[in-house]
Amino acid sequence: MSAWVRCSIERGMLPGEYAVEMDTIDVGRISLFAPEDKVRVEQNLMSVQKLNDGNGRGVLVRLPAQPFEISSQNVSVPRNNLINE
Amino acid sequence: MILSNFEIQKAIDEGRLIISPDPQPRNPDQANCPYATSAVDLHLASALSVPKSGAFNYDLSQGGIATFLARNCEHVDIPKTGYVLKPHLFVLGRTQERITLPIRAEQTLAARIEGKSSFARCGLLVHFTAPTVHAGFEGALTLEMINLGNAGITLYAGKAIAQLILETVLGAPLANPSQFQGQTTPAGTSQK
Repeated sequence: MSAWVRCSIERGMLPGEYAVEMDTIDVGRISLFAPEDKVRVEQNLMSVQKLNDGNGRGVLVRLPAQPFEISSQNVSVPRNNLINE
Repeated sequence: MILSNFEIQKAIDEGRLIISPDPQPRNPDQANCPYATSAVDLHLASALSVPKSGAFNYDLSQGGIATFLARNCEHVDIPKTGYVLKPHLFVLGRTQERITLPIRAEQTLAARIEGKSSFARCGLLVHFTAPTVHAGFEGALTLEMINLGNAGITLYAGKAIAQLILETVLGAPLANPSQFQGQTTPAGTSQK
Protein backbone atom coordinates (compact mmCIF):
# COMPACT_ATOMS: atom_id res chain seq x y z
CA MET A 1 0.00 0.00 0.00
CA SER A 2 1.35 3.42 -0.93
CA ALA A 3 1.62 6.24 1.59
CA TRP A 4 3.34 9.60 1.93
CA VAL A 5 6.00 10.37 4.50
CA ARG A 6 6.85 13.84 5.75
CA CYS A 7 10.40 14.90 4.88
CA SER A 8 12.49 17.86 3.78
CA ILE A 9 13.14 18.16 0.04
CA GLU A 10 15.78 20.09 -1.87
CA ARG A 11 17.09 20.16 -5.43
CA GLY A 12 19.23 17.09 -6.20
CA MET A 13 22.59 16.76 -7.89
CA LEU A 14 21.05 15.94 -11.27
CA PRO A 15 17.75 16.71 -13.02
CA GLY A 16 14.95 14.31 -12.23
CA GLU A 17 15.91 13.78 -8.61
CA TYR A 18 15.56 15.52 -5.27
CA ALA A 19 17.68 15.37 -2.12
CA VAL A 20 15.44 14.16 0.68
CA GLU A 21 16.00 14.03 4.44
CA MET A 22 13.65 12.26 6.82
CA ASP A 23 13.44 10.88 10.33
CA THR A 24 13.30 7.19 11.15
CA ILE A 25 12.57 5.33 14.34
CA ASP A 26 15.60 3.08 14.35
CA VAL A 27 18.47 4.88 12.62
CA GLY A 28 17.79 8.57 13.16
CA ARG A 29 17.83 11.01 10.27
CA ILE A 30 18.59 9.60 6.82
CA SER A 31 18.98 11.08 3.36
CA LEU A 32 18.55 9.88 -0.19
CA PHE A 33 18.06 11.02 -3.77
CA ALA A 34 14.47 10.34 -4.73
CA PRO A 35 13.10 10.33 -8.30
CA GLU A 36 11.00 13.41 -9.02
CA ASP A 37 7.85 11.37 -9.56
CA LYS A 38 8.09 10.12 -5.96
CA VAL A 39 7.98 13.49 -4.23
CA ARG A 40 5.56 16.35 -3.72
CA VAL A 41 8.00 19.19 -3.32
CA GLU A 42 5.60 21.89 -2.17
CA GLN A 43 4.13 19.63 0.48
CA ASN A 44 7.43 18.10 1.62
CA LEU A 45 6.12 14.58 1.06
CA MET A 46 7.77 11.49 -0.42
CA SER A 47 5.94 8.40 -1.67
CA VAL A 48 6.76 5.18 0.16
CA GLN A 49 5.37 1.66 0.16
CA LYS A 50 3.89 0.64 3.47
CA LEU A 51 5.08 -2.85 4.35
CA ASN A 52 3.34 -3.39 7.68
CA ASP A 53 1.65 -1.44 10.43
CA GLY A 54 4.42 -2.22 12.87
CA ASN A 55 4.08 -1.89 16.58
CA GLY A 56 3.80 1.18 18.73
CA ARG A 57 4.86 4.40 17.06
CA GLY A 58 6.76 2.97 14.07
CA VAL A 59 5.59 1.79 10.64
CA LEU A 60 7.82 -0.22 8.31
CA VAL A 61 8.04 1.32 4.84
CA ARG A 62 10.05 0.79 1.68
CA LEU A 63 11.77 3.90 0.34
CA PRO A 64 11.96 4.70 -3.39
CA ALA A 65 15.77 4.65 -3.27
CA GLN A 66 18.49 3.51 -0.92
CA PRO A 67 19.58 6.03 1.69
CA PHE A 68 23.23 6.89 2.22
CA GLU A 69 23.26 6.12 5.91
CA ILE A 70 22.02 2.50 5.89
CA SER A 71 22.18 -0.46 3.51
CA SER A 72 18.45 -1.15 3.29
CA GLN A 73 15.52 0.57 1.61
CA ASN A 74 13.20 -0.63 4.38
CA VAL A 75 13.00 1.59 7.48
CA SER A 76 10.63 2.29 10.34
CA VAL A 77 9.20 5.78 10.29
CA PRO A 78 7.27 7.57 13.01
CA ARG A 79 3.57 6.85 12.59
CA ASN A 80 2.84 10.55 12.97
CA ASN A 81 4.95 11.31 9.88
CA LEU A 82 2.98 8.99 7.62
CA ILE A 83 -0.05 9.97 5.57
CA ASN A 84 -2.07 7.18 4.01
CA GLU A 85 -3.28 7.63 0.45
CA MET B 1 24.40 -15.63 -19.10
CA ILE B 2 25.07 -12.52 -21.18
CA LEU B 3 22.44 -11.72 -23.78
CA SER B 4 23.34 -11.34 -27.42
CA ASN B 5 22.11 -8.32 -29.37
CA PHE B 6 19.31 -10.47 -30.81
CA GLU B 7 18.28 -11.61 -27.31
CA ILE B 8 18.37 -8.02 -26.04
CA GLN B 9 15.98 -7.01 -28.81
CA LYS B 10 13.78 -10.01 -28.04
CA ALA B 11 13.71 -9.03 -24.34
CA ILE B 12 12.60 -5.52 -25.34
CA ASP B 13 9.86 -6.92 -27.57
CA GLU B 14 8.65 -9.17 -24.74
CA GLY B 15 8.65 -6.39 -22.11
CA ARG B 16 11.40 -7.99 -20.02
CA LEU B 17 13.57 -4.96 -20.69
CA ILE B 18 12.48 -1.40 -21.38
CA ILE B 19 14.94 1.10 -22.81
CA SER B 20 13.45 4.50 -23.49
CA PRO B 21 14.00 5.82 -26.10
CA ASP B 22 14.12 2.49 -27.90
CA PRO B 23 17.61 1.93 -29.34
CA GLN B 24 17.46 2.18 -33.11
CA PRO B 25 18.30 1.03 -35.70
CA ARG B 26 18.43 -2.63 -34.76
CA ASN B 27 20.19 -3.97 -37.80
CA PRO B 28 23.98 -3.91 -37.31
CA ASP B 29 24.41 -3.32 -41.03
CA GLN B 30 22.87 0.12 -40.67
CA ALA B 31 24.84 3.22 -39.72
CA ASN B 32 24.77 4.26 -36.07
CA CYS B 33 23.34 0.94 -34.91
CA PRO B 34 23.69 1.07 -31.11
CA TYR B 35 23.90 -2.71 -30.78
CA ALA B 36 27.20 -4.53 -30.42
CA THR B 37 27.16 -8.32 -30.48
CA SER B 38 26.42 -8.53 -26.75
CA ALA B 39 25.66 -4.98 -25.59
CA VAL B 40 23.69 -1.89 -26.43
CA ASP B 41 25.08 1.65 -26.34
CA LEU B 42 23.83 4.32 -23.95
CA HIS B 43 24.15 8.04 -24.59
CA LEU B 44 25.20 10.96 -22.40
CA ALA B 45 22.47 13.37 -21.30
CA SER B 46 23.22 17.09 -21.25
CA ALA B 47 23.11 17.65 -17.48
CA LEU B 48 26.27 17.30 -15.42
CA SER B 49 26.83 17.73 -11.72
CA VAL B 50 30.28 18.97 -10.74
CA PRO B 51 31.10 18.53 -7.05
CA LYS B 52 32.67 21.62 -5.52
CA SER B 53 35.99 21.50 -3.80
CA GLY B 54 36.26 23.13 -0.43
CA ALA B 55 37.34 22.93 3.14
CA PHE B 56 35.05 20.06 3.99
CA ASN B 57 35.06 16.29 4.09
CA TYR B 58 32.30 13.87 3.29
CA ASP B 59 31.55 12.06 6.54
CA LEU B 60 29.40 9.03 5.74
CA SER B 61 28.78 8.40 9.43
CA GLN B 62 26.82 11.65 9.62
CA GLY B 63 23.22 12.00 8.48
CA GLY B 64 22.14 14.19 5.59
CA ILE B 65 24.81 13.20 3.09
CA ALA B 66 22.47 13.47 0.09
CA THR B 67 21.52 17.01 1.01
CA PHE B 68 25.15 17.94 1.64
CA LEU B 69 26.21 16.58 -1.75
CA ALA B 70 23.38 18.39 -3.52
CA ARG B 71 24.23 21.70 -1.86
CA ASN B 72 27.89 21.41 -2.77
CA CYS B 73 27.74 20.80 -6.48
CA GLU B 74 27.55 22.94 -9.58
CA HIS B 75 24.89 22.19 -12.20
CA VAL B 76 26.24 22.31 -15.75
CA ASP B 77 24.41 21.88 -19.02
CA ILE B 78 26.73 20.64 -21.75
CA PRO B 79 26.86 23.26 -24.52
CA LYS B 80 26.77 22.31 -28.19
CA THR B 81 30.52 22.96 -28.33
CA GLY B 82 31.03 20.32 -25.66
CA TYR B 83 32.21 20.28 -22.06
CA VAL B 84 35.89 19.70 -21.43
CA LEU B 85 36.45 17.29 -18.59
CA LYS B 86 39.82 18.32 -17.27
CA PRO B 87 42.39 15.77 -16.10
CA HIS B 88 41.59 14.23 -12.72
CA LEU B 89 38.23 15.99 -12.49
CA PHE B 90 35.22 14.02 -11.25
CA VAL B 91 31.69 14.75 -12.43
CA LEU B 92 28.34 13.01 -12.38
CA GLY B 93 26.30 12.53 -15.52
CA ARG B 94 23.28 10.61 -16.65
CA THR B 95 22.29 8.45 -19.55
CA GLN B 96 19.67 9.79 -21.93
CA GLU B 97 18.01 6.39 -21.79
CA ARG B 98 15.74 5.24 -18.98
CA ILE B 99 16.18 1.58 -18.16
CA THR B 100 13.52 -0.63 -16.62
CA LEU B 101 14.23 -4.20 -15.54
CA PRO B 102 10.87 -5.60 -14.41
CA ILE B 103 10.90 -8.32 -11.78
CA ARG B 104 9.06 -11.31 -13.12
CA ALA B 105 8.39 -14.85 -12.00
CA GLU B 106 10.58 -16.02 -14.88
CA GLN B 107 13.33 -14.56 -17.03
CA THR B 108 14.13 -11.52 -14.94
CA LEU B 109 17.08 -9.53 -16.21
CA ALA B 110 19.81 -7.54 -14.50
CA ALA B 111 22.47 -5.46 -16.22
CA ARG B 112 25.89 -3.93 -15.95
CA ILE B 113 27.04 -0.63 -17.29
CA GLU B 114 30.46 -0.50 -18.87
CA GLY B 115 32.55 2.15 -20.53
CA LYS B 116 33.64 2.16 -24.13
CA SER B 117 37.18 1.25 -25.08
CA SER B 118 37.69 4.31 -27.30
CA PHE B 119 37.03 6.68 -24.39
CA ALA B 120 39.01 4.46 -22.03
CA ARG B 121 42.07 4.97 -24.19
CA CYS B 122 41.72 8.69 -23.53
CA GLY B 123 41.57 8.04 -19.80
CA LEU B 124 37.83 8.34 -19.24
CA LEU B 125 36.00 6.21 -16.73
CA VAL B 126 32.22 6.41 -16.86
CA HIS B 127 31.85 4.38 -13.72
CA PHE B 128 34.39 3.24 -11.19
CA THR B 129 32.14 1.39 -8.81
CA ALA B 130 28.55 0.18 -8.67
CA PRO B 131 28.20 -0.98 -12.30
CA THR B 132 25.30 -3.31 -11.53
CA VAL B 133 21.77 -2.36 -12.52
CA HIS B 134 19.72 -4.57 -10.27
CA ALA B 135 16.54 -6.40 -11.20
CA GLY B 136 13.59 -4.13 -10.50
CA PHE B 137 15.51 -0.93 -11.32
CA GLU B 138 13.74 1.84 -13.18
CA GLY B 139 15.29 5.12 -14.25
CA ALA B 140 18.20 6.77 -16.02
CA LEU B 141 21.64 5.51 -15.03
CA THR B 142 23.98 7.82 -13.16
CA LEU B 143 27.50 7.94 -14.54
CA GLU B 144 30.42 8.50 -12.18
CA MET B 145 32.87 10.03 -14.63
CA ILE B 146 36.50 10.84 -14.06
CA ASN B 147 39.27 11.74 -16.44
CA LEU B 148 42.35 9.76 -15.47
CA GLY B 149 44.27 10.92 -18.54
CA ASN B 150 46.69 13.79 -18.83
CA ALA B 151 44.66 15.83 -21.32
CA GLY B 152 41.13 17.15 -21.31
CA ILE B 153 38.33 15.07 -22.82
CA THR B 154 35.47 16.88 -24.55
CA LEU B 155 32.08 15.45 -23.67
CA TYR B 156 29.05 15.97 -25.89
CA ALA B 157 25.41 15.43 -25.05
CA GLY B 158 23.98 12.59 -27.11
CA LYS B 159 27.33 10.87 -27.55
CA ALA B 160 27.39 7.09 -27.07
CA ILE B 161 29.47 6.97 -23.92
CA ALA B 162 28.63 3.69 -22.22
CA GLN B 163 27.25 0.28 -22.98
CA LEU B 164 24.75 -1.90 -21.21
CA ILE B 165 25.38 -5.60 -20.75
CA LEU B 166 22.26 -7.67 -20.02
CA GLU B 167 22.29 -10.85 -17.98
CA THR B 168 19.65 -13.31 -16.85
CA VAL B 169 18.91 -13.64 -13.15
CA LEU B 170 18.61 -17.21 -11.89
CA GLY B 171 15.34 -17.53 -9.98
CA ALA B 172 12.72 -14.95 -9.11
CA PRO B 173 14.12 -12.13 -6.94
CA LEU B 174 12.22 -11.14 -3.83
CA ALA B 175 12.41 -7.36 -3.71
CA ASN B 176 10.51 -6.76 -0.51
CA PRO B 177 8.02 -8.51 1.74
CA SER B 178 4.99 -7.23 -0.14
CA GLN B 179 6.14 -7.97 -3.65
CA PHE B 180 4.21 -11.20 -4.00
CA GLN B 181 1.45 -10.23 -1.63
CA GLY B 182 -1.86 -11.70 -2.72
CA GLN B 183 -0.29 -14.20 -5.06
CA THR B 184 -1.29 -17.79 -4.65
CA THR B 185 1.05 -19.62 -7.00
CA PRO B 186 4.77 -19.42 -7.65
CA ALA B 187 3.97 -17.99 -11.08
CA GLY B 188 2.21 -15.09 -9.44
CA THR B 189 -1.43 -15.76 -10.20
CA SER B 190 -3.57 -14.01 -7.64
CA GLN B 191 -6.81 -15.45 -6.40
CA LYS B 192 -9.60 -12.93 -5.96
